[in-house]
Amino acid sequence: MHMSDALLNPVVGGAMLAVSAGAIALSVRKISKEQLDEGKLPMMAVSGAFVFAAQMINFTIPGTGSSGHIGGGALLAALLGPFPALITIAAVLLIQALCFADGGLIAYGCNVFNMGVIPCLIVWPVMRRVFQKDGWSVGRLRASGALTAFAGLELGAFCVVLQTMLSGITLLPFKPFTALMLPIHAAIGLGESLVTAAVLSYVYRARPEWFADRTAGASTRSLKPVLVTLLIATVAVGGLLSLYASAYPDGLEWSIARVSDEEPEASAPSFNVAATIQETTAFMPDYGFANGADESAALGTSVSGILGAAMTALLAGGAGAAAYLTKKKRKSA
Amino acid sequence: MQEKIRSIATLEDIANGDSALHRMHPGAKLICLAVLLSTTISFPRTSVSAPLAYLSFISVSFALADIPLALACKRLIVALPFAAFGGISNLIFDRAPSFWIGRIVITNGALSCASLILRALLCVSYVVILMAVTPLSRLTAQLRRIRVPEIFVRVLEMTYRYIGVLLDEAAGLTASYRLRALTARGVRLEHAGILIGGLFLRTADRAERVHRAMLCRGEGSRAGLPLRQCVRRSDVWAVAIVSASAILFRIINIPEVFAHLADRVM
Repeated sequence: MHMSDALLNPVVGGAMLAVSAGAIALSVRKISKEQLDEGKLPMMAVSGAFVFAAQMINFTIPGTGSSGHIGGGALLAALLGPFPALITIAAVLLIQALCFADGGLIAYGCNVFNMGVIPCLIVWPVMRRVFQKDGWSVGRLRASGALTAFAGLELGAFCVVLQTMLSGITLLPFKPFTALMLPIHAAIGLGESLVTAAVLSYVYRARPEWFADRTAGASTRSLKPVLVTLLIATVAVGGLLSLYASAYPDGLEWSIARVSDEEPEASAPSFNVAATIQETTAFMPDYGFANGADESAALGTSVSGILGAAMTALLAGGAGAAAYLTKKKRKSA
Repeated sequence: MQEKIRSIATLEDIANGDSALHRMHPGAKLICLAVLLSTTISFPRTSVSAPLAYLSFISVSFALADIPLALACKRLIVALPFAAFGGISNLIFDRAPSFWIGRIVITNGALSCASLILRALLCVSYVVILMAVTPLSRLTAQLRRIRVPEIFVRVLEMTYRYIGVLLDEAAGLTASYRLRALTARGVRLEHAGILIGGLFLRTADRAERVHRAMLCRGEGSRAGLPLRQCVRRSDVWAVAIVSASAILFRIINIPEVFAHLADRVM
């Protein structure tokens, strides 16, 4: 479910980065104020490494022939508490993006929101309020963990659909995309919820005092500040960044439009500025073969466009080769 | 699991190398990365030719820093499926003809599919380059300097440090399981809870030992000292050149300029 940068536009990516940064900042403040006892920090850190390791343990999903692994958000929320869990998941996702290319950096905000904020700060607090009224028991802990894992994964998958749709990079229609994503993640979520419930019941039986410590005095916390912060950050950043969203089309698109006598529609001020710059810098505004008829002119434009692209790619590679040779020469000198 | 551990070790080895890029200030690298990422993903959906100019940043960086191509390829394999899924869906849903090469019709969907994959390749490569020329300790020191909360930075550092240890634990657990359940291909669902739960308890014990060790080394008496690195004139120049060329490549379609030149010649 890790989103990559290429599927997002800067507005959606930036807005989600701001939202997730807000959620992390809120978690840091909460932990610093109330929860950070002496051993908490190493526990959070080693739990982050635990998520990596636990994700390596693939379990078989009965009847499907496929396998899955836990996501970790729901499990950490139950084991560490929502705010430390979010920080731990955020750290894990950053390491995954930096070291393993699992999710992009512009998409980092989306990934933290989908896999961290949703299970840790939205779903788990609700489940805890419902199931922990009279304290924990194995059954209640299992139910809350399983439901958090399932609902967290489904909501996260739905958010992936929304973020992708808002970015406008893919043309998958909303309904089929949702109809594809939700059932797939429902199957995965079912497996994850069963394993999460089993892990929680195992840990509860082995160390019941763990849950008494984690949840003491935590069930009455209001969710309003979290939701209000997220809402304000989304509106503010989304609104601000959208002012700078560019509708400037690609040069290849322009040349294609010339061939088909259709101009792509674009009316943003940034488009006009970019168009002026491009017209000023172009050597020949209406290029094509000098002596061709319409058809050959069209082919000529396509060919020269492709030739231009090939030359750019060659030059880009050539720049690297030149840098390498210069470095080698300097070393040998 | 061993593959993952090796992958971290390889990345650390390369990041501790010595080249112009390795010596660059981490803050300067982060600014360059931000500019490159934001300009790359701001191209319109069907842009294929214009982002090609950004390949020059990648080829120059790989050459300057001696980054092995295999490292980037492995990361690309992880990142490409999701982008390819988006690209293929465009291929199916957008069949409007865009232009012809002879009798071959190139659709808008084909263009956007190619563009998506190209941009995914570029974005992943930028991050691979950053991590191949910057040890994590320098990045986290920079995060401290820009006032990222200390708790987050320390969790990040310690998580990274203990990944290898916990992966070893998990490898031991799964190896024992496989030896006892010879017929099982993976871990059976009913056993996964106990296995992962056991791993968590080991994790908790490990965290307690880590905490004690930290206290023995004077943890809590002073805040962690960030690594110092001065901003040099070359760092400022590097940021200026990379940012200016990235913005230039975004505004001016370089392949189109070459296309005009080709036209002139033809």
